Amino acid sequence: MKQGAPDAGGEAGRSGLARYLTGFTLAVVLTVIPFALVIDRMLAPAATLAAILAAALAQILVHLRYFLHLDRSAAERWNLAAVLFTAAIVTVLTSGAIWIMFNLHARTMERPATAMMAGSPKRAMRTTPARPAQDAAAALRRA
Amino acid sequence: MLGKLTLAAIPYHNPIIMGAVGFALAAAAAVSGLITYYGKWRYLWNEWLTSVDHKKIGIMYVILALVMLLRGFADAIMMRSQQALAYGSSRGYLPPHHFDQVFTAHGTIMIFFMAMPFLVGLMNIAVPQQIGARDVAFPFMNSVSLWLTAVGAMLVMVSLGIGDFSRAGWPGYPPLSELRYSPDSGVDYWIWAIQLSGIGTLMTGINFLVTILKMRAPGMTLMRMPVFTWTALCTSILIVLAFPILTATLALLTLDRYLGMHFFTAGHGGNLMMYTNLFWMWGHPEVYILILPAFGVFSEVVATFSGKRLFGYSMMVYATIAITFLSFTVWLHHFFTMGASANVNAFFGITTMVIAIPTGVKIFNWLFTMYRGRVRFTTPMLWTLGFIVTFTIGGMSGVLLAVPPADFVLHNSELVVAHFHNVLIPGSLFGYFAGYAYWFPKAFGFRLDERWGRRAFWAWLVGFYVAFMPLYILGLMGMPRRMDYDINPAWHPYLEIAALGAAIIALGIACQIAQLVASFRKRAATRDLSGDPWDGRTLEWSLPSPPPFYNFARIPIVRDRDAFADIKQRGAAYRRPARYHDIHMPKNTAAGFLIGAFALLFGFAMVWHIWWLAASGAFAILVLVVARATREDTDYIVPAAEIERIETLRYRRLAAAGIIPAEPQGGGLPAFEPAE
Amino acid sequence: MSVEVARHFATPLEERARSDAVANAAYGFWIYIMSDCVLFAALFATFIVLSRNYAGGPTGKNLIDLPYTFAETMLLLCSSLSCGLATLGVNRHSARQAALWLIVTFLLGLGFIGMEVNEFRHMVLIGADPERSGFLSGFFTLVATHGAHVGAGLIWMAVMLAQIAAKGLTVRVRSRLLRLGMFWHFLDIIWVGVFTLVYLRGAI
Repeated sequence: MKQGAPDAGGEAGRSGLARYLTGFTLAVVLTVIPFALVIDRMLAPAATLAAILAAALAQILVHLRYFLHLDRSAAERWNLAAVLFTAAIVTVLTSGAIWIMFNLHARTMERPATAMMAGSPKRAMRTTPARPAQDAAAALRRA
Repeated sequence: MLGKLTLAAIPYHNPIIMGAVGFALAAAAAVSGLITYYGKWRYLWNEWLTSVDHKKIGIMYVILALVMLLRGFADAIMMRSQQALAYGSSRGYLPPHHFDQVFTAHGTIMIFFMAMPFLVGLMNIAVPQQIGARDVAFPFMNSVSLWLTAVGAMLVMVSLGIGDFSRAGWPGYPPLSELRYSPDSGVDYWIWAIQLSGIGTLMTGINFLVTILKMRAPGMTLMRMPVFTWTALCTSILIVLAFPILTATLALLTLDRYLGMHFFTAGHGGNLMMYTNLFWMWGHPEVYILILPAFGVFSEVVATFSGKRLFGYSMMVYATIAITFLSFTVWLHHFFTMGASANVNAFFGITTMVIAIPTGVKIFNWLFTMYRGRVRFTTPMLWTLGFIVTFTIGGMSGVLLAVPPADFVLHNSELVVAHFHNVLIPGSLFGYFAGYAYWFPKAFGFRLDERWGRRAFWAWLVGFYVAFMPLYILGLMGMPRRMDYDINPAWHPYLEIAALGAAIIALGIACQIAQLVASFRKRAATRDLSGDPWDGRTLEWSLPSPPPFYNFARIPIVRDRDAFADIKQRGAAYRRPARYHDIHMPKNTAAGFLIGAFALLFGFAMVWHIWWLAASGAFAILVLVVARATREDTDYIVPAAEIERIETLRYRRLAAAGIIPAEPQGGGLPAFEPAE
Repeated sequence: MSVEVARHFATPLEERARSDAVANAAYGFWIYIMSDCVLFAALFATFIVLSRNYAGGPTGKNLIDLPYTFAETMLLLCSSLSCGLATLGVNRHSARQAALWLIVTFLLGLGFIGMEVNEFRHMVLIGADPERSGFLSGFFTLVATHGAHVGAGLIWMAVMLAQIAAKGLTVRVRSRLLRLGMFWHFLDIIWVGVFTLVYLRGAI
């Protein structure tokens, strides 16, 4: 990547090192925090999940900026464009996939207990459709 | 030693297949015989197989596409005849085991080994010339892309004679494509053919993205690029972002089949529906990859043969960009019936309808370009007119299918088949045919015969309607796709008409072959002397036909859209530079071809579980790549004197043809170039 | 008729700027990395969809050892830093600095792979192999694909060390080293996704 001046000897060289060290330190902090949160169970599960996702996103941005030198300068313009477009598409695809698959999962009426039986969808249809409310309650009790 | 491969893999007992194999081998023998007779093996190796020249690579891609068109069309004839025969109690002549391979091969070949190579070939021929460049950004990688694509096609052809091909349809849904229900070699051939050519395609996407963004002539801003280059750029973006999904998805299926994993198995925690979801996340952008270059061709052709600027250039560009982004938001419409909720289906139904809008904008722009223009009804223009009318019908059937409740009735019916052929044939294929006719003179130096071209067009157009309009009716009557036998007799008349349509298309193909022969025969009379047979508007027409290997002796400075039309209008066409400079060009190399050869061995070995051969092939490829990376002497300099020699010959020919005034005594045109 | 002063042809300098091979190679590689991101996104999406499909077998909680994963993460993160130091050496045209830090990066990367292979071995030994369930298939494939990329990076590093020794820091060698650096940093970014979505999420 285009790193500093053409000859990154003195001045640019030192600022280059400073950049890497700053990025490294930030990354370490953004790694320790999520690990600590999960290992020590300081927060509720939902909050923990949100926190580790936020830390991951932040650390990715740190890597992009401090290690891959991505910024808003003219030299990095096309690289930035590529990253932004890819990020947009990846977001659409992954969130779309997760939305679709979890929606399908919810609508296939899989019972948690019977889901563990290898390859036997018929067991999930054990109960007749006339008693859906009772089955849902039973499923909740079992879960 | 030979994995699962035995002599029993060769289908001796099947006369149809052995006939096809015999025909293919005979054709290969005939071609080899001709090459030997004319003593052209060395020429073929030095000038074509080891070439890294985008123009030659493009031509080879198109040749591959045209050959595979014949194979894919043979499958189509078989399907149409089978369905026309197998009604009531008749079983036709193709048992399910065979018929299923035919429709799988038809889809796989037409998409991956006809349409993709055709559009990549046209991009290769035209784009560097259109942007004022001497080659693509990565010429060696371009060669590798070509050979990997050819290798994929070869694997499909080999599957004719050794083993079976897949019977699971071109999308290869599990559980049918899993080991349990497809234990033979078929799905594996399908997987490796697509994976290997897919790597080639991904490399092409990267290559053209960098080429277009980084290698345009000075003054050619993005909004001054030809529209075909814009569509090539957007196609490349689609390739780069979509193909990895296909690679990943097929890799997961491969892991299921080869290592017993449970991504898509029916049990042990597999999720079949995830395959469908992943496949179409690639599959929908893929159809836009197939159509955008065709739209680009139409834009060039309409402007050139209406003698006018393209109407609404900016809108065309924005529409193309919109299509590029939106194509990633519609994929679920391929499986509305898989069971997602109304909200999910509605969301994707809406996005599907939205994406029709930019396409509609383009149609209007093409019409407005023709309005008040002086339209010349050349073959490329005929293909374009046929497209505008016919594609619109197909697009409308797509909007119909975009309505989830309608799709619930029509999913998996022949109406879907009618729809996608109605957009792919008049859309993509006519576009490629138009591009083929349009750029043929640039590639070879003489024009294609117009009479045979017209005949081919009309046969294709009429044949298309006769073959596919009945399928709309059949879909509405309830006929499912991919039926081998037990066909409702009420459907029979329509299937007969459809079979007739296929026969008419066959006449169209025969006309195209005749066109090639006739054009070659009378090439002296139709020679393109100026390089600009159509009074074109973009930079490729400023070069000789065919261009010298370096394309531009001096890179032009661009001042406007339709750069060559602008240059001609300023009276500056065929201007001779004061001085020539040395030119840096890449050397030819056998490495691309060899990587392809080892990839073929690797793919074949993986299909038959010949692990030692697969490992050796993979290792050989690694060695070739590292060796290539270690070489320093991959380029060479063409001295200015040599450039001058070639160019002087060119200017003499231009003068002899009366295109530029004859040279006075010794000098050329007055050169207005300031001394450097 | 006045003499046209507008230039019609590019100067050799303008031409070279247009086809600067090093810049093009860097950008092309960047685009390849974008495509690799999409590939990993598909694997991530598949993993998440299959992440509760235990099929009666071992779950994430049974298998995940967060301190172990933390150690792996630190190895990879330190290797990113050492890779950056190697890049600084490249920019300063110091073959010695570049090679030295590249060797450190290689060793740290090798350590990461060693830890990962060890983890996999242990899992297979206790019956948590990729053929056991959809969850495990997803786990192994996502993590091992990342590991395979790291392995490819190590091979590439070895080749580059040989090239530095044989040719020194020529223009081409420097160009390749910069691309190797891009690749290595990108792999650390993917790892951030892996340890967050596979290990941390699996252990919540």
